[in-house]
Amino acid sequence: MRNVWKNFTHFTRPRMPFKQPNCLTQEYATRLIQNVDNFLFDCDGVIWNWPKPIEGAVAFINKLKELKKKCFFITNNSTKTREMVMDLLVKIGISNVVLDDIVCTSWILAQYLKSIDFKDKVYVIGSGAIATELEKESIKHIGIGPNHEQIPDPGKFDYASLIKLDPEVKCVVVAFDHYFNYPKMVIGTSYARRKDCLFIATNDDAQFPTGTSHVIIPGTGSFVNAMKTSVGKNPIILGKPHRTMWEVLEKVHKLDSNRSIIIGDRLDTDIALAANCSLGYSLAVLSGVTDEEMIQDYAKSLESEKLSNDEAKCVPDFYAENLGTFEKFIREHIQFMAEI
Amino acid sequence: MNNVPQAFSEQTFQNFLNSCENFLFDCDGVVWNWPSEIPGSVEFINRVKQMGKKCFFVTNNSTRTRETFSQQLKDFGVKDITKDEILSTAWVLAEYLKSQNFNGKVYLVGNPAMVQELDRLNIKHNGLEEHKDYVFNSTNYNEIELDPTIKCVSVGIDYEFTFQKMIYASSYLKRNDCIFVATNDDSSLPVPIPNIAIPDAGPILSSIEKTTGKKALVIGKPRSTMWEILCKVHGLDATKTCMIGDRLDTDILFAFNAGIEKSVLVLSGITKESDMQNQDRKKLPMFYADSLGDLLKFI
Repeated sequence: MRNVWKNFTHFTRPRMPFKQPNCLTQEYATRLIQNVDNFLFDCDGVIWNWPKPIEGAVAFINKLKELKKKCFFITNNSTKTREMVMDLLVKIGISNVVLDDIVCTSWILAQYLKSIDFKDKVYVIGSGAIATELEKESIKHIGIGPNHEQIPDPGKFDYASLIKLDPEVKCVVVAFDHYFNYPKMVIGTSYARRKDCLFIATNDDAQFPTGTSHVIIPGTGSFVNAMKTSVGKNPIILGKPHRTMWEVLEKVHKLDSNRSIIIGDRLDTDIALAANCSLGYSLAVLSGVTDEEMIQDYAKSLESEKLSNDEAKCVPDFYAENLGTFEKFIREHIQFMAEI
Repeated sequence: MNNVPQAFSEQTFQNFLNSCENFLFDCDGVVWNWPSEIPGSVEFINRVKQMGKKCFFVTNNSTRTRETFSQQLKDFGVKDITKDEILSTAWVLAEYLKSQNFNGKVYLVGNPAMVQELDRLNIKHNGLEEHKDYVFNSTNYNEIELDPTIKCVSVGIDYEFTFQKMIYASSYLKRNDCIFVATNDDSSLPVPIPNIAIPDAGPILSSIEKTTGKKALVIGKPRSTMWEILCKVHGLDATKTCMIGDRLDTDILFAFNAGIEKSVLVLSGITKESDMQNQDRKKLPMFYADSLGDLLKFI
């Protein structure tokens, strides 16, 4: 059951109460600090648009730590290991971060395969970070890196007759891969169609966050769509908004979901995670891929009850320009607390 | 109209023959299972041609020009065949752009056949080889330069599909005036090797649609676009036309969408007789047969 404050109007749906989004104010900010112990941060578009830190983000997180709040970093970015994320957090100035404060999809993939006692080989469409995390758990993999196969004419099937599949492969993973190409689609699909082959994706984000505004960079979801259309079945998806990464944090750190907040820039991954995991609160920041218009559009549809359950999960409880906004609101609170 | 597909009898086949002036044939699973002819198919087609029927070949395969298809059919023994009797999606896509008076430049995610069909109509496009060896990653996204004259993204099967092409296609589609067309959305080519999958345009298209949130206009079966072009060029009457194919959700549904009542399913391709049970009525053929060769006994 999600927390509801009596000043809100809310619209109850058959199974879950969904609320109108509210712009973060001084009062809401103060109440959040009082009611939340655990702050889960997405990274891209929230803390940084790499390499630029977002205004106020570092100051906010460090202040939360001063207030003895727990801060966690939960990212779908599959091109980073936990160590790499930690490096970035430290570089940008966040103090006192340990590896266990971080969950990222490359690491969670290795944990997932370990948890199901996977002993075979993985065909990976993904980056070096996936290799690093799998190798830490001694999981064998093939496929990472450039694939220079030339397929002169698939219509002639000469190429098809030359492909030799490795019988040890029992899992296909789809993650972000800037070497993604047609030959990888052929091989990945041929493996994934086998009955005993697992089919896993690190995440399903449609676009990859980047500071470059004139181009759109496809996200892992784009590769996933290609592969699932080709294979004819849906993969297990590990990243937000699915529960896997939250469940690990919850278990390791013994977190109370009611006293937890997710802060992210993407509505269908970060914000939807709150609904899927019954987290107390969600805050959307507008420093990444989402703008205020998108939130207002959702709010209007919510009011006229036109949203599906999945869409309703994308409506945040609160929204703010960026973490700097939140930081300014609690500055006074902190000074007050310091003077006690 | 009787919704239950019927096997042909001598009588019903004669009636059927007499009522059709135009025969539309799918190729894969009807004429050939590449590289072999399906026994009797070519003879059936030649006999029907001899009777003065018009024959057309309607295929979603975007890897061949009409010339190549007609040569292939000729090589198999089909008589008096010209490119004008072929409807292949690479050609239809180019014709579609012409019919819309398209005068911009196309960003092509495709193959050499599509290049040839666009060139034939003097439709400008980027080269397939552009940026071929360049790898974009987070260190050099800002080096990407977009061509301001691109007004269309066209997608067909592209065996040199890369992440780089995904970036360009998605970025051009951000523009409001950029149209989005695809040859077909089939998920794979029919491959004679059982454990290997050869993806068709469908997976490629779906990756770009996911990135951009936009849907392409898809030319190929089961949409009726190819029938509309056929009508325009040859003035055909749907009530005197039949469609013969091996796929319910492509060929037979195409017939339904085109208003062609006389549809025939042949079981020489990927569909089994039992697949017709519990099927949406739009995908049920009027008749079915084992193969074209099997119908020779009625001619």
